[in-house]
Amino acid sequence: MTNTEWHLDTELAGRYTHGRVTSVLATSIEQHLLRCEVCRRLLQAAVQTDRLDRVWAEIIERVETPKRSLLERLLRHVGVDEATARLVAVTPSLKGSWLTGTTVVLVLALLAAQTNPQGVSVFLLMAPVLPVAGVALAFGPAADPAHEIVASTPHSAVHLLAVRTAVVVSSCLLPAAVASAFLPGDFWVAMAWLGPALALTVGTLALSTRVAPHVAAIAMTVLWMTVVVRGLVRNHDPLFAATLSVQLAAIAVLAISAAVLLIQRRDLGELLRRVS
Amino acid sequence: MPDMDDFRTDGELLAAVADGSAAALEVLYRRHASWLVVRLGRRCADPTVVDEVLQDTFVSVWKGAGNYTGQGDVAAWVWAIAIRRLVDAFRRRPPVSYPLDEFTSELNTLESAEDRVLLGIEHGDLAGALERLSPELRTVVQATVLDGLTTREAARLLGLPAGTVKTRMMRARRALRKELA
Repeated sequence: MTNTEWHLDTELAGRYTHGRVTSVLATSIEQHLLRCEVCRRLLQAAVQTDRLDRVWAEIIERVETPKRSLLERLLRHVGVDEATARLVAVTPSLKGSWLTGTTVVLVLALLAAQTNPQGVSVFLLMAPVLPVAGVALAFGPAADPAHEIVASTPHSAVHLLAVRTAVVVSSCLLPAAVASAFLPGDFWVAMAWLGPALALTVGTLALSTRVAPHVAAIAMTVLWMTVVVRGLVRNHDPLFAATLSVQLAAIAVLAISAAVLLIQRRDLGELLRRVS
Repeated sequence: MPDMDDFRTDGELLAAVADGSAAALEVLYRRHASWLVVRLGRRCADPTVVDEVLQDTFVSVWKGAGNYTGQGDVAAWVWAIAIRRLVDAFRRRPPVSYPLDEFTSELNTLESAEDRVLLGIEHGDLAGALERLSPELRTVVQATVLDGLTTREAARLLGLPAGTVKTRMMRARRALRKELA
């Protein structure tokens, strides 16, 4: 790649390091160093490791600080304790990509509902699944930068689980609630996704005491999709998901799941340990 | 501690940094910090400032890794950041003097015959011509042409008014042209 066979040797590297070369030679060396990895390595020993370590410690501190900034500072500001704020801020489901995905799904479902009276069914089908996916992401096998925080938090496992789930679910429910305000038709029909959303989410958590969170999420999603799609096909009712029977079933699932969670709360610690 | 012998190229590491990998940033840091410290040290005598600049540089690399186009050496890209962070540091705390001024004159005597030959290959007559410039003019050439700074940045680096850098650059150019003609 370079146009010469010119390289530094240890003697020249040493002289350059200690400033014992003329400025023109130094310039040659500096231009060469930009292009030659081998010669750069000759300078590796020129700086003491503990000095480099010290600077690196400052860099990593500054690099990781912004992560805890925005949301976390806001939470601290409104009186949330430090450990909880950190925990919320590092929840994987709160990453921009996830929120963008949620918004896109909602907007598409909303468009479907606006253009086609049958489209409301798309919204009622999709909206409850979003928080389930969010919970699976928050507790799933994906890399979680909060490991050490989870391990060292002064709070109980139940507190942890509750905080995270609340954060994730509200990050989905709020946009979905806004979106449902734009749905054509009756307000309460438009809100019919809320019950199933909570039922599926809590159901996922309850299942997670037995299987991995992402498996639980997939199971709940498949269950929901199967029930609703079958209902849509059989009854030709785009508002099938809003019917009393579905809503009651959702409330039943919610109640059972909550009971399971309550009974299994010792296993929740296990769930969190599995995660981290 | 990340391995120095990480199999990834600098470009791949930078892509990983752009994706938020602090581990990749550390590998880059371990590869590049030493030569950066030495090179910055030639432009700033205060090791505290050099360390600050090194720190700022890698924080900038972290934030700006996505801006690397994949064109050119990563080392050159990092240096371009480092020299500007040095200028920034000098803006906060003006340098007492540009250290190159001090040692260039005494160092002329240290130059070996071997250096002469190498420089002959590298630059031809240009090397000699640069060497014969006064230290004031040479530092200006160094900062603008070789470190790639703008007049204003060079002025901050050298602790001079921008007008002075401009006139010195003009004089240096005239001198070099005469010598190389």
